[in-house]
Order: sequence, then C-alpha cells, then structure tokens
Amino acid sequence: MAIGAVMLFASFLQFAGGASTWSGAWFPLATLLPLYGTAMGVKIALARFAGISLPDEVAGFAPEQLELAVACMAAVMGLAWVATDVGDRQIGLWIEAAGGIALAGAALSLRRERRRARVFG
Amino acid sequence: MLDKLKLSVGNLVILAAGVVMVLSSLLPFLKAAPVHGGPVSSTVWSNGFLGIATLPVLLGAVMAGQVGLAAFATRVKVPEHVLGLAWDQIHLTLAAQAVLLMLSWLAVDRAEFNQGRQLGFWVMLLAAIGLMAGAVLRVREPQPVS
Repeated sequence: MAIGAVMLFASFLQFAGGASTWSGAWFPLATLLPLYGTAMGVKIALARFAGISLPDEVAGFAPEQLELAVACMAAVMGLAWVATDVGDRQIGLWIEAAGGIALAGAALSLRRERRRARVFG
Repeated sequence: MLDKLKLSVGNLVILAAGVVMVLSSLLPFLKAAPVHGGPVSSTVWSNGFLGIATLPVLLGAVMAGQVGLAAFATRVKVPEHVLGLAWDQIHLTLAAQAVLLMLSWLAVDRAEFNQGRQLGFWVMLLAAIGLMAGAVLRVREPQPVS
C-alpha cells in the first residue's frame, strides 16, 4: 500500500527529459508502472479498510496470483526503464523503477507468509 | 497435422506470433527526426529504444520458447508452476503485458516520433495481439489427459 502511494506520488515528479510520466512525451508508456502500483495499493487498502476484496477468481487467477503477476510485470518494466537510454534519468524514473522491484518483493513476501500461515494453520 | 506437431491451436498461435515478434524486432520500429540531420529509422534494438521497446519482444520470446520446449524438447523438463503460477496464467500475464506496452507505444505522442511508426512497429503490434489470442485460446482448450 505504501509502495503504491509512493509510486503514484512519484509519477508526478520528473521522469526523464524534464517531463513527468503524465506528460505527452511519456504517457501512457511510463504511466503503466505507477498505475500497476496504485492498483495494487488500492486493492490492499480496500480489503484492509473497507472489507472489499476481489472475487475468489479473476480471469483464472486467485487474488494473490493476480497480485504476484502484476507485481512481477511491474518489476520487469522497472528494470526495462533503467536499461533504456532515455537521456537524463530523473528522480521519478528511479523511484518508479525501485517501486516496481519493491512491489515484486512485497508480493513474494506476502505469498511466503500466506503459505506459512496455511502450513501452520 | 497438429497432433503430429504435439501442438494445440493456442500453442501454435503463440509459437507463430512469438517468432513473428522476434523477427519483426529487426525491422524499423519508429522513424525519428533528430534536431540535427535527417530522419533516422530505429529498431527496438537501437539506442534509446533498447529496454522498454524490446520488452514485448522478450515477452514473446519467453512465451514461444516455453511452447517450443514443451512441444519439441521432450527431454527438457519445464516446471509446471513458476512462483505458484501455472503456465496458462504466465502466458496470459506476459501476453497482456506485451499488448499493453504496444498499445502504449501507439498512444505515446512525442515530437521526435513525428516521422511516423514503421513496419516493424505495426507487425509487432499484430504479433502482440496474436500472443494474447493464443494465450486465451490455450486457456480455453481442454487439458491433455496424462
């Protein structure tokens, strides 16, 4: 949830070439990454504070599988942005890339916790 | 014929779209007009594109590679699940990501790209849609009885 909030905030900072992810130069290519983070943050916030959760299955994915899939794609995109020569990489790009990788780490950690909880009842 | 190839229709579509995606990555992707000099065509492997523009190609290659390995390299054991995700789910995820990235490249509005999108871009967009179609077909196909 915190990572999602940070990624949303960072999406308004300068990404590269003095423009944010919402500027015509980068939208929607670079905006996908903060949108993934925001979607995951909103999903967790809704479940935590409003008791609203996803159905047991969405397009053949259990909610935790969906989280993991989205987080892994965010991490891959983060790494791809770091690898891309966009000229001057600015603070927004670094935060988005780090956020994408952190999302994957958090989703994997959540998966491990849930598995442990299932095993030990 | 498909039985002989050990490929379902969904897998065949993924394999074909993946191969087309990789080959089309070598074609011109965008024609950019730098401040100095004439317009220059770039592939997704060119500087400035390598990375985020190459990602759909890599996703397609992974999808086609898994299908190819499972069908033709019977000695190679491909795990049935990766991080708790079945291959059907992985194919759906990778294909959705490839389509989203290509649609984003279609929507992006940059002055440097004013010379237009090139053949490689359009073929990659179609290949990404093909990957998605293959992934959906694969999910809907009956599972082979082991």
